[in-house]
Amino acid sequence: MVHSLIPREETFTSRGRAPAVTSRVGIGLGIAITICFITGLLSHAAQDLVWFPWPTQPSWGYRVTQGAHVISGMAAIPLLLVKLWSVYPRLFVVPRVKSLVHALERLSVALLVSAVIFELTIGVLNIAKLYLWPFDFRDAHFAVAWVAFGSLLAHIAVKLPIIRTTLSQPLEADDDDVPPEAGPAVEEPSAVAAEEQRLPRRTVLASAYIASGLAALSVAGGSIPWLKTMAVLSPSTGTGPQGVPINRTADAAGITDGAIGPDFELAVVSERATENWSLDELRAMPQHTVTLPITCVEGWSTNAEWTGVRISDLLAAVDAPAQSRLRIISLQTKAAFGESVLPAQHSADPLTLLALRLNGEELARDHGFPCRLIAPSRPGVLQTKWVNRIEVIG
Amino acid sequence: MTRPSTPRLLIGLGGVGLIGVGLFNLMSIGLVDLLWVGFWLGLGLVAHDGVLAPATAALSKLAADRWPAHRRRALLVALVGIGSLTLVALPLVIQQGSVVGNDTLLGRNYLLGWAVACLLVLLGAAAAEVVGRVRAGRAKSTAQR
Repeated sequence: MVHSLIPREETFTSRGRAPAVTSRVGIGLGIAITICFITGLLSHAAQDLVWFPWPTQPSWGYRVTQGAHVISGMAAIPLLLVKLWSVYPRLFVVPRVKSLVHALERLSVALLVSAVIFELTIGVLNIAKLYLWPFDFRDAHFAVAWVAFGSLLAHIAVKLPIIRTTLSQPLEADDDDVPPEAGPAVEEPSAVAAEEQRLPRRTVLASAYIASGLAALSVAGGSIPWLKTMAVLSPSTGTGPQGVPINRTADAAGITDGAIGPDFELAVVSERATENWSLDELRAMPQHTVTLPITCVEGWSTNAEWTGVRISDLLAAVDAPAQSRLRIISLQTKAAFGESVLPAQHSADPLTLLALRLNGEELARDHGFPCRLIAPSRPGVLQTKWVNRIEVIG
Repeated sequence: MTRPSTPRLLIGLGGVGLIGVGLFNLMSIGLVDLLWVGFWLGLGLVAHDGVLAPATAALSKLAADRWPAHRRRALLVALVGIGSLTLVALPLVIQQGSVVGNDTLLGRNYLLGWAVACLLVLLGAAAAEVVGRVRAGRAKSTAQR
């Protein structure tokens, strides 16, 4: 009984479910996944300070790479769905396993599909801050990304002859309708089914790419200012106090009024000296104004004008070289990223500030009052807010 | 059986190598988390192959049986567009306004945004259908002359 409910490959007769469509949708999907994988690795390098010194220039570098990561991920979703739709009949091929090589190929496809679905699903859920799992998002997203991209390369290697053949033939050519292993398609008797068979493949292809473009557009405005009004699915509203959105409020970070009250002091500690400054003393130091983006790992970013003291000036005051690796420590008592490491190239960059003002006003409490870090091309989670201590660590 | 070309072999081996890196990284997340990742990997596959794909096939069959054949192209464009937008919008709609004390994050009206985007898709599909029919009509009348 259950067996009779399982369709056979021949049950699916739509002309759209053909290698000609699969290959052409696959090109877009492959490009989107490649961009997503590479930009994901770059984000990992920027956040965990591994592999190579993350450059400070261009100052919008991380904004572009992380925006591209989220946009390409979103664009991949409709392409993946249509590609899977086009090959769905292959799931029911009989015999299920013909040989060891066939079994391995089917297993590799299962690994590819599950890994890509996993990556895109938890990526979208992370944007929506909907954590339905107990594992660490970043660790799992990073590890499975390698599996997904590796499986994609292996899949391309296996399917390359079919891809070449189908791409060399016209999209609507009928001789590639049926995979060589399968039998002839069974004609559905109804006139409706016959009409359905005439649905052009270019319509399937156009649907996939239009939907992909729409999905990308729905979040692109989070990173690209002139698309802001179309960012209906961006996690950020694109605005907030002083014109900049907030990812974590002072209350969510456990910042108390006492900690940032009149007694606040910033300590900068090096091997040779320790200096403490009150907020008024920081205000009395040479002030610099820079325009830098703040970029969230969820893909939204916005440019802002920041005013404050150069980190290199603070280091000079404690007799430390400008090219110093620093630990930036926050007053926050709750949630992650209460401290961050600032690489030497960022400390020395004249654009890197301990900001006291944002867009012409004193920092709002939720933006990190009394002072926060702002550095060029750096993930938002590492732009530490409510800074009260800076340690020279290398 | 023909021998795979060198580039093809290199791509394949490179892929296997990257899978190995991924599995190695997964080994460091702890056994419990690893089991959860495995569960989610399987869940995605089952959700697609066992739920989404059959539901799409059933919906397509239903639409094909009830929808005039000459309008099926517009229907396909609309369904793929709206279906994709719905899937990516759903978590945001669920989470809309969920960040207490911070209306700058997840503070958009995602339901309205989704509805407007779907409406635009429908209008676009309808417009494309009208243009297609007008062009087909012109081509037909030109051929008759």
